[in-house]
Order: sequence, then C-alpha cells, then structure tokens
Amino acid sequence: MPGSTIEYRPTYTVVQYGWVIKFGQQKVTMQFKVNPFRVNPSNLAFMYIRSVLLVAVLSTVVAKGQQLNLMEIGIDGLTCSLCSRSVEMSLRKLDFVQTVYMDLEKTQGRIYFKPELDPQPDKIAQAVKNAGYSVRFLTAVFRLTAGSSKGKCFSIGKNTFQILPFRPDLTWSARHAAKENRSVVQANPVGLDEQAFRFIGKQYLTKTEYTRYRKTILEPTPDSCKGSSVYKITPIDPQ
Amino acid sequence: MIEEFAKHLCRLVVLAIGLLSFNCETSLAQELFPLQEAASNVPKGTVGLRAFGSLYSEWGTNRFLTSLRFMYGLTPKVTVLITSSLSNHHSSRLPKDLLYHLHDYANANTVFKTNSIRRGLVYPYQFNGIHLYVKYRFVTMDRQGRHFRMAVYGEYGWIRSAHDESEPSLLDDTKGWGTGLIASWLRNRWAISWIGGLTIPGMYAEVQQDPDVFYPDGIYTKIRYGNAIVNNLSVGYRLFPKKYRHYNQDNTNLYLEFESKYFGSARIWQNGNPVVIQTPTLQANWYVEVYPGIQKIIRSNLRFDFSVGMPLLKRSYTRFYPIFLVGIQRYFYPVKKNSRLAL
Repeated sequence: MPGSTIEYRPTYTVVQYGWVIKFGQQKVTMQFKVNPFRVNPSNLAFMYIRSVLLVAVLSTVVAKGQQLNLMEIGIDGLTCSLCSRSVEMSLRKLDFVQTVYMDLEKTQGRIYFKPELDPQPDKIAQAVKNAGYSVRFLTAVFRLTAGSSKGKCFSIGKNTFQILPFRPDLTWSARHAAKENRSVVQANPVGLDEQAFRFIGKQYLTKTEYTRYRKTILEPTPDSCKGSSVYKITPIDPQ
Repeated sequence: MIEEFAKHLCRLVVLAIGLLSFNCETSLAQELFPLQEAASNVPKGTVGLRAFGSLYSEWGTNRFLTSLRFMYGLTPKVTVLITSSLSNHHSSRLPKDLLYHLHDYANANTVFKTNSIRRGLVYPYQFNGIHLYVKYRFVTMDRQGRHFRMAVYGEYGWIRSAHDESEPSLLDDTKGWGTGLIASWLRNRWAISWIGGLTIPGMYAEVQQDPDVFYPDGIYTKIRYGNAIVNNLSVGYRLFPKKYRHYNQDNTNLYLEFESKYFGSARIWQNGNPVVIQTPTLQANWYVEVYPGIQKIIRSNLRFDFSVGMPLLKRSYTRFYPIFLVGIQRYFYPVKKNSRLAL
C-alpha cells in the first residue's frame, strides 16, 4: 500500500535452524540440524516431514471469529501497464472487492475485501482470466486459533478451506513473492497465530504446476470439508 | 529516390532498436501495435474506441482516410471490432474512362479493354462502409512478464466503394471476407507478432453510360478483385519507462511493422463479356511495405500512434508514399461507481 508504514510481523520466531510456533497459549518447538531454508533435495525431505507435522497441528485448529480481508495475487502474461490496469479494473468489478493495489513491475497485486461480504477466490481467478491473463499464485493469511476441530478444514463465513500438505516446490513462487513483499509492500499486522496459504486448483496454478500436481488436486474432499464453497490451500511457509 | 530513402530510414530504425536493446533488462514488452492486431484480446466486457486515419499525396491531391473503431471483449478469448470509415480515395462511381470498347463492325464483335487510371483527381468524402473483425485466441502460454499467444481471425467488409484497382482491402476498398492466423511472442522489452491471412474480396457492379450510345440502357460493368495473401510482421520495443512504478507513468514505444501482400489479377465483365486487363493497377502484384512508428500511452490508457509507411520491395498501386498514419485509442472499463483506480 503506497505510503503505509505498518510493520509486518513474522508468524514465527526463528531460532538456530528451527522455529517456535505459537497458537494462542500453545507453543510448539521444532529444531533441525541443517538449515531448512536451503532448498536442496535433502532439505526437501525435511520440509516434507515438517509439512506433515504442520498439517497434524493445523488439523486441530480452526479459524475462529476472523475475517478474510486481503489476498495477494501473482499474474502471468502481463506485459504492460495498460494490461495491469485491465486486470485491476476486472478485479474491481467484483462486488466483494474493496480495492486493489497492483505492483506493475512484479506483476502481482494485493486485493482488499469488503468486511461484510465473503470473498470468492474462484471469482478472483475468473476475473483475471476475463482480463486475458493467468493466475501465477493466490495467497491469503488466515488466523488459526485453537478450538473445535473439523479435521483438516476450517470455515470462514460461507467458505470452507481444506489444508493440503506443504509442497515446497509448489509454493516456491508464492513464498518468494511473500518474502519480497515484506520489504517492498507493507502488509497488515500479522500475529503469531497467523499463517499464509496458497490456493491450490487448476485456476490458481500455472499449467506446468497443475499438470505436475493434478493427481493430488483431484483427490476427493473429505466428508469433514463438505460445504457450498470448498477451497484447497497449502501453507507457503514450512513451519 | 523514395525507395532509397525508405531503405535508409528502415536501416536506421533497426539500428536504433538494436542499440537500445543492449541495455535490456527483465521487464515488460509492448504488443500494442499501431497497425496490426496482436493475438491478445480486449478484456471481457470492456469497450474500446479507436479513431485512426491516413494521409498521402497523390500527385498533389491529398487523400485522407478517417476511421472509427468500436472494440468489445465478448469473452476472455473473443474480441469483436467494428470499423466504419470515410475517405476521398474514390469517386462514388467507377471512372468513366476506366474501360473502353472497340466495335468490330465487320465481324459484328465488340472488344472490351481497360484504360490507364488517371491520378490526382479530386473526389468528395464518402462513407465506405462497415468492417467486422472477430478474433479468437486459442493458444495462451503465460509466464511472468512474457507470453506466447496465437489467435485465429475472421473478417467481413460491407464496403460500397467504386474501387478501381485489383488489390483488395476489406477495411475501406472492397467488400468480401478474410481469415488468418496471428502469433504474438513477448520477452523482456520486445514484442514480435506475425499475421498470415487470406482475403477473398467480393464483386463491385454498376451500370456505366456508354459514350457512343451504342448501348442506350448503359453497360453493366462488374469487377471481381484479386484474392490476396497477407503476410505481416511487427516488432515492438518499450523505450520508456525503464521500470514501471505506477499508472501515471507515460509509455513510449517504438515499432517497426512490415506489411506484405500478394494478390491476383482483377476480372472485369461488361454486359457479360470479359474485359482484357491491360492496366498494371488491375493486374496481379505483390509488395512489401515498412512502417516505422512511435507510440505514446498516457496514464496507462490513452494511446497515441504515429507511423510512416514506405515501400521496401515493389509497391502498392492503391496508395502513394510516404503515407502518414495516426491513431488515438482508449479503453472504457465498466466498473462500480465507488471503485476508483489508485494512481
């Protein structure tokens, strides 16, 4: 947001090759002997193990009393400021969108929603498609607090979100963009109990990513995740 | 002389673009070609308006073409363009001396032939007709800051011009239809687009007065223009801004567009009798033209184009050189009343 000076606080505390994650009063400590930030084949195994642990932790929490007020989106195929403007205007036509800020050089943007309406990620992807371009990633930050469990799912308004295991290769672009944004575009305050996720689905992935992960994406939704609008998400950070 | 000048200018523009590209960095290119349609579409539900025109001097007489284009994104992949045009390129009827006939009384035979076209005559402005163009994008390969796209197009011209040359143009000269393929590729600051197409013109017919009053009811004259193969190549380069920061930055883009056309000979009948085509302007021909151009985009929407066309190989008989082209274009986005673009 131009002119904003709101500090972006990390969702986790980094210790030597590990993290301390807090969910309200609960605290989970994970520590590793190697640097998990380095993406190489051996670290990918660690990341996968962490992701399994993460899903195990997240499956016991739900989003409680929160609103989804913003999403970040990366757009492929944009080639000029006129094109970015077309995407922005297409997004602004959505009734649940409050405002949109585009980073023209990085071809990504931040979408703010109206508090009284539930955002619909599929309509966001369709708006980008209507403008003639493709979604590179779509991410959102959820506040996950301890409470009643619904398996690997949680609901906000009419939307239900199913958490898929962390895939480091699948979420690299979104994670990279999120890290860049922390220094370039200031974000809303994010508490220690908040977590960034990437939306997973044909309309939210590049064609290459979708082809590679189609099998995982097409797996049936568990009964606990049934709802009128179910969206699959995966954490973009491995904690 | 003009050809030599055109070739020198073309070399200069190519050299300038080449030098500018040395400082090429990963950023966004331009495909908003002033003359050619790229494979990309108008956003769904968006309306665009474009006014454009051309000017050249024909033996001291200025020839103008003024067009107004309505653009609409029917779906994310289908764009519709409707263009109407005014020009003083032609009279409302074929030239009286375009054709002549000889009476062979001994054999009771009449021979019909074509005359040379007189140049520089002053014609009034007239409405040429409507041109419909539909484009469907069927290949989309998007990456960050680059893409490759392909589209197929179809066009139809309801044009009622007394066109007296073989070369067809569905925008302003001849009725008929056309189809073709478009491929556009963008990387870094560059944009390249190719169009390959076919034009099948219709016929023009009118009743001409017989100067000899041999045919008191007049002579029914019918012209079938030559089919054409279109092969165009456009190159674009973003000069400014070096880096995008906000929508208020003005864009300056350079373009080099090559238009080539091969077309067959016209066929003419008078009272059902075939006419001997002996005029070069009505015979088969091909040519390659080059159009260096510059473009300014203000506030990421209002677009101004300026190009100059010159012959590179052979020439078109339907126009004279240099030909100057200007255009202005704007998109109108249907947005909510309380939604204002952040600039």
